Amino acid sequence: MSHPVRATDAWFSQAQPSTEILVSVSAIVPDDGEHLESFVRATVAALDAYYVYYELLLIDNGSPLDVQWQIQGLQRTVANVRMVRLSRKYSKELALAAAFDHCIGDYVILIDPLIHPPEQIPRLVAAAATGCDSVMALSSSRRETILDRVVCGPVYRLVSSLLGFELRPNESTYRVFSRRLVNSIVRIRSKNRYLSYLNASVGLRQSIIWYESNLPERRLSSIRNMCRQLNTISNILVSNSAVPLRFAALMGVLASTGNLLYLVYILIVTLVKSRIAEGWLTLSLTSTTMFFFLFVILTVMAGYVARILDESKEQPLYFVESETNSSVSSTGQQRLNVIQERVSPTATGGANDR
Amino acid sequence: MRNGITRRPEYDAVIIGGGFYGCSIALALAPRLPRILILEREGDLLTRASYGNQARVHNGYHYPRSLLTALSSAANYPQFRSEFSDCIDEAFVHVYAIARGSSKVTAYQFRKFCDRAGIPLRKPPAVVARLFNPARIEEVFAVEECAFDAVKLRAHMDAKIRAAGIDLACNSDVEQISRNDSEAIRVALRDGSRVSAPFVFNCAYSQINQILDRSALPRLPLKHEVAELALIQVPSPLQGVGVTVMDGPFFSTIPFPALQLHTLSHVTYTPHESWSDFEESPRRSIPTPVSKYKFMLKDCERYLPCLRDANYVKSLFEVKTVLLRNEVDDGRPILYSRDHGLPGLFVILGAKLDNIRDIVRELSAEQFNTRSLHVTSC
Repeated sequence: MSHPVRATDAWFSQAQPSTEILVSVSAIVPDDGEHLESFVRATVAALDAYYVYYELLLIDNGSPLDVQWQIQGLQRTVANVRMVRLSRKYSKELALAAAFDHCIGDYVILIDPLIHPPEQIPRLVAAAATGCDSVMALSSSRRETILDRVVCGPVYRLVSSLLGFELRPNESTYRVFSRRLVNSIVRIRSKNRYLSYLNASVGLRQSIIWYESNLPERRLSSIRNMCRQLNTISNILVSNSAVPLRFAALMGVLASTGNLLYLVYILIVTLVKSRIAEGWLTLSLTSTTMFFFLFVILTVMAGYVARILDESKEQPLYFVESETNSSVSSTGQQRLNVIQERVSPTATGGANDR
Repeated sequence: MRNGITRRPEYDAVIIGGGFYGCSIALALAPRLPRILILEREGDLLTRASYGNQARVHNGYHYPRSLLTALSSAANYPQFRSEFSDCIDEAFVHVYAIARGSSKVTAYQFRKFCDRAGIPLRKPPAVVARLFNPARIEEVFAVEECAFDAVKLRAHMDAKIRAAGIDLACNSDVEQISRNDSEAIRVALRDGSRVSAPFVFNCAYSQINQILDRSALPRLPLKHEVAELALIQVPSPLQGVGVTVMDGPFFSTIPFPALQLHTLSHVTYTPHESWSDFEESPRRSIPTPVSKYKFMLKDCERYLPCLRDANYVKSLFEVKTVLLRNEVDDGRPILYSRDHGLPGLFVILGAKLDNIRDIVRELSAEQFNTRSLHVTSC
């Protein structure tokens, strides 16, 4: 369960940069390199003020060559900037997977260069350092529309209850992840990836911080945003849950039962009624029997496909948060490695029982 | 004679640079040229690049993408091992781990490569193989590759040089090389003293171009790089184990016998600043950069989780010099330039320590005629 964390300045007010941790900030390079340089400089400045060890990992997701050159130019003047160039343009979720695979920090922050202010990074890290494995930064400019409340909210709640863990609409990708969470996420190698799902499926401790921002956090109209949210949640459901398939199997069972009842009805009509149209019996019997078998077969196949889906997901069975041990020894008294052999006095006395 | 030149103003050969290459070349020439002097800038032999490196004696495993380099390493390996047997540390298990995903070779290709190069691969001890993160490491192999003790190597070379009657002048910074009236080469030192010889060998590694530049001689196309080698105390499961993760932006941590520690070098974080002094004038001093050991350790932990408990001790920073044309590949040939701007001036850029036989063989083909001062090749 996530709960908002109240961020106070005391968390991240540091007299000097921290040498304890290594912070990785990762961003997918936008195709338009216009704001790239200011983003890189602002991010590195924000990091440099708080940490000695940090890296900015840019994932170049098949952006134009001039953007690549621009980054290489920046690497000559700005320290600790790494670029991983993917071979072609992949989906955003796969590019994020590359970010997780390549970053090395104790804390990994995902940031969108176009909409997220890098000044919030120290606050995010400070919030994570209190023991949260994932902290999401949300802008105060974010407004919940009527569509969000009436359509997206209930759909997300329904899907969350089907999947067994909580998903929320309009989640921000501006997040910090602990190394523990990153290590768990990189073990999930499924191709249909959704960060919000991966994050929720691993679990661990999650929280939210809010920041003041005048930048619009969304670039889409509310209807388009709703369509996108619904598309995402339906994809998450289909990729990760066999519930829709089980639902289809249930329909198959119902349809085949209906067919079976209709078969009985046909037989009763044939026996009771004296006048029935010629050929009706044959046609009805053929179609009902066929449909009955068809639905039975579909039901069985849906059951198997559901199991194949569950088994084919390359996902560990469980993730461990931590392991702890007793800090006291098992017994209070010292055990000596001495065997005491007691011999009964009657046996040694030589007395004969007889 | 270990400090400053006082005894003789003339020699048969002067060798600039008392590193492993300079000393080995002096020893190779000693039977033919009786009066040899080694000029070393530092206070002792083998203190710079010959000391501050990974101490790995290559047996070829490192070059799965260049069979020729591997074959030549494998050919030199037994010879180096027997010649310097008193400086060799073989008392550790050396494993090569092939990374998943971004490695340029797969475990299958690596096995095939070792097969073709004729270098043995064995199953690693289970306790060592278990240390690796299976999600990031495809397979682990035990190999036959040792490390050398840089301090013992220094003592070894020093003893040989004394035995061969070669003069050594430490704390001798060469200022300039010029032509003498008597057709010999004159070497002027920073302290004002001079020495001349018909044959001068510039084996100053990263300082080669600086000396050439001050002598108004043509510079070589070299690229320099400040390389950081972190020295760490490894946790107990890694004691007596050397690890090399192949083949790409990975790392290796192998014993450094001279200090009883492990070195840690990382393809991404070991190189700091790099520059070329071929077209611009050489740099006289290089400031020590900020250590990147934290980056190295954090990345390594992802492959070898037990490195979490490693203790960082210090870093060795050394300038690494390669030929400009080899900056992108693994080829590390020895550069050998004879009569470089002056008859009798040889420039030799050493590469890997275990390739020393190659240059010794090359020099054995030369004929040094001290009277005519002309070098003829056989």
